[in-house]
Amino acid sequence: MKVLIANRGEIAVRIIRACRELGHASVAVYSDVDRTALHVRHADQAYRIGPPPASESYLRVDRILEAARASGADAIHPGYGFLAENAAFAREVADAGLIFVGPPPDAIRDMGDKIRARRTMIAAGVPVVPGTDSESSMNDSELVASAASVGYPLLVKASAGGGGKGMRRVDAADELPGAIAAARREAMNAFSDDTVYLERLIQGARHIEIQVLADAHGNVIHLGERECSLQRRHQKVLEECPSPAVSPELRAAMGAAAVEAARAVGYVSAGTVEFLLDANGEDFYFLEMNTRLQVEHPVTELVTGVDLVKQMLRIAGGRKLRMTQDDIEWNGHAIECRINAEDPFNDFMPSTGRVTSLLEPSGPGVRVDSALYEGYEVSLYYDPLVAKLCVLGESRPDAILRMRRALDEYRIAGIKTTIPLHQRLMNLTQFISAAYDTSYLETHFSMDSSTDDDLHRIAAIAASLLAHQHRGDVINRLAPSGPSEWKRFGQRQGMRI
Amino acid sequence: MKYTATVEERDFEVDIDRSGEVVVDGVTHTVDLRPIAGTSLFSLIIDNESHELLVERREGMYYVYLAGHRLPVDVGDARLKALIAMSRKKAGEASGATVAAPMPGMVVKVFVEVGAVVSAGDGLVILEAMKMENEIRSPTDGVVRLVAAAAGSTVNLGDVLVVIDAAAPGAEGESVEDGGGSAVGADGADDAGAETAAGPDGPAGERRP
Repeated sequence: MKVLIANRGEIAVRIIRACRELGHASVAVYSDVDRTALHVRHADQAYRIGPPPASESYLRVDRILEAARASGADAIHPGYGFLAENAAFAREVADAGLIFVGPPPDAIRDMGDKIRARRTMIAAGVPVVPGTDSESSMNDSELVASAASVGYPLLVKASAGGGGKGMRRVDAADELPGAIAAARREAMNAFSDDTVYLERLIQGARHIEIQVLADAHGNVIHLGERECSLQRRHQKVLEECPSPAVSPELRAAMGAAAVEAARAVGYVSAGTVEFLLDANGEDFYFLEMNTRLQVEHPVTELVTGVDLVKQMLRIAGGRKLRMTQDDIEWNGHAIECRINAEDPFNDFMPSTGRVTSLLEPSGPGVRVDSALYEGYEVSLYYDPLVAKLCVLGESRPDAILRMRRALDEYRIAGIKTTIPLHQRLMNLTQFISAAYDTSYLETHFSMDSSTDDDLHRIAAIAASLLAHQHRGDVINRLAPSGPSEWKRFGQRQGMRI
Repeated sequence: MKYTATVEERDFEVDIDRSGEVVVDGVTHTVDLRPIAGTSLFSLIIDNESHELLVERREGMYYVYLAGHRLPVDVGDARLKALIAMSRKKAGEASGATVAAPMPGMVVKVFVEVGAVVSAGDGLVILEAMKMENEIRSPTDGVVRLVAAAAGSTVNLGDVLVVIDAAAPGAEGESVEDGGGSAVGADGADDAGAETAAGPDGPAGERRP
């Protein structure tokens, strides 16, 4: 089988690796800024599909299908993001006589429209968060009118949404119209669909998601949960498997609900059912289903030993699941830190630029899924996620200690990354004791903190040595030739020039 | 050569005279600082204790990244600073708080117009990059003198978005730079060169697309 990967970055590399291990040929596609990206260099074949903006390259269905035809690919894996949850794309792939490595188009459509998904789940008996459940999309004034019955605080969510795009928190009625406008604008940009709905904000909740695998022969199993409660701007920051808040009984109950959810839409392939777990630790609500491979799939792979990407490829080839629910075991504890090109000391502003130095952690229990290399240029065109660092430990405390060690080994220079954020989190009492909810990072956490004197002294020594080294250079540069006024100034001041 | 290094309000007297040695607050340490790559990653051994750090130089400050912390270090060297100040004065400096794009991106919305009175923290512009909207806020109280940003336009790192005449006396110009850690990216990418002799790579803080 020859597989075209309609994606870029670390996930394209991840899928190419699975193809290699299965003996499938791989085809990369790339925009102009990605000509030397790792996925292009690792793949067997590579096709240019356009200029840097995603709308002119990675979202161009026609060019991707053309690359598939030209390369003779049998299947297309969409990765995550871009066209991964685009039912029309999945349908076009099938119409072109190719295999879409993912769920059937109807399952994508049914789950991708969040409003429709809510109604399907209610019918299937899966609990959902209270919200607006109108049959048709509501205009601004209808939304405003129904807000009181939903209750504040609430979330404005894009029906086509995902990853926090087109989503806004609203605490009071006067903020609602602005939030709806902002959510609609963001949703229109991201998904070309500005339909939004309202959902009550469940406070103190944890974000727990269940991984499912379904084959085309009616077999559906779950691979347990991932804990994704540490978020910023509704973007996951760090994930764990298993969740410290989920008992074996709760896992079985949530797993069964997730399997029902998948069955309700005729799901095939790997998918993830997201739930909110109430602060009481018992009640859970369906949030949405991600009809694709998740960013954080590696933590499940590490703990269950199941290679989800290979399973997707096998299932796409029409094979039956090899394992049953009883075969799934969870061993040890895994943590994933998302390494984003963002400056945690400057309000997480995106950081672009060239990676000048890179040293990735390795050693026992460490897995790095990365798009980075020395000389790699982080551009503003795509998602800020540039790498994922995962560890597996015998227990949660082991995993935390291992992650601290791995983060300390990680060196990325030239761009700002979220590594310092993760270093802080790994030493945070609330994280170690797992006492946090989805609002924790934004309401209780700050990168500012006083540090101990030893660190201050090390910094003082380093900076003084550098200042001393550069001082001569500066003076020389300001006084390039002859006895200038700079030199006279320096002499007056007793400088050694 | 004596320096005063200030880290988060803690002063260290650092005396650098002999190679391989520093005296910090009267205590002698053996030190060995080696660049690893470029000009931002260093290995530092202090009395046989091994540290590795990223260092970024911006507006005369050193930012040392260590164990998940960013430690701003102000190395006091009054004479050198006077020299640099003279150099700047000569080059002629614009006054007023200039708010520049902290990253390349697309201007989604502009909240202010010329003549608007703004307070520190007020939203000026929404800039979209990497698919997220980022609000660029005013670093100072003042009156908007110039709006260079237009909704729908694309800007590069360091492009001027808005110029604000600072309201408080003495708060002009430099105030933007003092807020080096704030959300405002007007960190003087242009004039940083006057005091940056970090070599061909420049400091890590300056990123050019």
